[in-house]
Amino acid sequence: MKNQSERGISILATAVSLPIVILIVIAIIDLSRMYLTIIFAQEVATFTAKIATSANPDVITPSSTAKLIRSRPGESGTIKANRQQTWDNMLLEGTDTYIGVKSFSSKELKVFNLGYGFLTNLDPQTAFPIPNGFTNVTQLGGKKSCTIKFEYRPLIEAGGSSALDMSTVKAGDEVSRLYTVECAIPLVGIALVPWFFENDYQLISRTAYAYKSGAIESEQLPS
Amino acid sequence: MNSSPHNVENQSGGIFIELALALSLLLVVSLGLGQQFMKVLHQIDHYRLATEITLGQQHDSIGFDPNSLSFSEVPDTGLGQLGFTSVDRVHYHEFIGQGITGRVPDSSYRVFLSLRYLNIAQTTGRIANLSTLAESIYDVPNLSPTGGCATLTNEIQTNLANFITLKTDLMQIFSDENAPSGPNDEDGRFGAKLFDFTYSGTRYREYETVFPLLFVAICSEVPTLLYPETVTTYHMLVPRRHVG
Repeated sequence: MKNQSERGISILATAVSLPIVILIVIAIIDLSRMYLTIIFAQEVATFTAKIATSANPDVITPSSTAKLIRSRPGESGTIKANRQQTWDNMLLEGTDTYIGVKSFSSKELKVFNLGYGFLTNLDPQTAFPIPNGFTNVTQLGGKKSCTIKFEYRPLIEAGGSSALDMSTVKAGDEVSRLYTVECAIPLVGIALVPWFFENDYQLISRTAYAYKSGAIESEQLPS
Repeated sequence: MNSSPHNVENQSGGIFIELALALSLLLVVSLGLGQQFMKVLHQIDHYRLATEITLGQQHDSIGFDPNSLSFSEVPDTGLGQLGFTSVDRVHYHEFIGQGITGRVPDSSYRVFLSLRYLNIAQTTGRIANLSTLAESIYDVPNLSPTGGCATLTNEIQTNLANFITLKTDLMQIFSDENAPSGPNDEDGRFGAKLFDFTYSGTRYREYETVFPLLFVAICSEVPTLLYPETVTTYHMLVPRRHVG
């Protein structure tokens, strides 16, 4: 009788404690992934800003943004098309991510090339950029995706700064850029208890400011 | 051995106390780990800020005048004017301070700046002596530090002053102990070159007579559930370019 009671208590204790321990371990794993992704994004953003402030980055100019897409192995054509759409939207007036010009300059493409190269070097498993309009991890290809983007900025002023009014910019004007690295990462904990969360991924973004990081070329300006 | 029902209850109570202790310990370890994570993230943020200062806005200290074909100090025509500098130290501090207040993650940060100069021998590039400017530490305004960052003003400023002394003393010692053995020996030459060429077998070179160094202390409060903690980092930054 005694042994049965003790065994029952032990099983009960294990049944109570084990899920809690597992949840804590999963939470630590997820938080560690977020932590590492924050450092990763900050490193890439700072590196990209450093490259952007150099006079002439020593690398080939990608012939198109299609060269700056890295898909997951076996990824569907739709996801790849959405990754390309992310690039296109940066240059498409009316979209949320429109940066105010109709094309990237040669230097901007070189900076992207080196920025994504550094990103791949740090983590070869990362796909880029984040597919446009994704709503769940499946549309990310199930793995971490990151985007490097920028917006034109005026000289930093106290109390924050806003985007540069591109209507005032002329060809040849030297401008600053705020580089942002945004990463979408799937999390184990969210996948286990999805009903508590709105999304099954976590977005992390970090920025770095590149002061006077290149001129606007005449062919970039909207007609 | 007693096998009464009371004893079984005692044992089950003991097991649950052990369970509670183990979970509490796990929770404290998790929180401690989380606090360490946050602390390191803040340190990374500080170094990111310091990097952005070196990438960012600089005042040129001297410029090349294409009319007279000579290098000269350019007049200060006002804060933030492109291509002009030789600003006084207050302007420089304000200028860099603006950049920092625009880039801190939140206004709870506290930043101290101190611009110093090394005087450089024009022909040899060696350190003549340390800053002749009066020492001053600038507390960047428009920030609202909390906790330790608000109260540890004297401690941070003293540490920054010690950091400056340590760094500049080391440079002086390096320069003193590494005298160049000849015109083509680069040992001990510290300054920023204005020109360097050889003509008719003679090497001509000249250095800027000042070498500015910006010292920065950044303090931030780590968000925590355990105990309040501040992170303070000290940086020595060499302006990226100071020739116009």
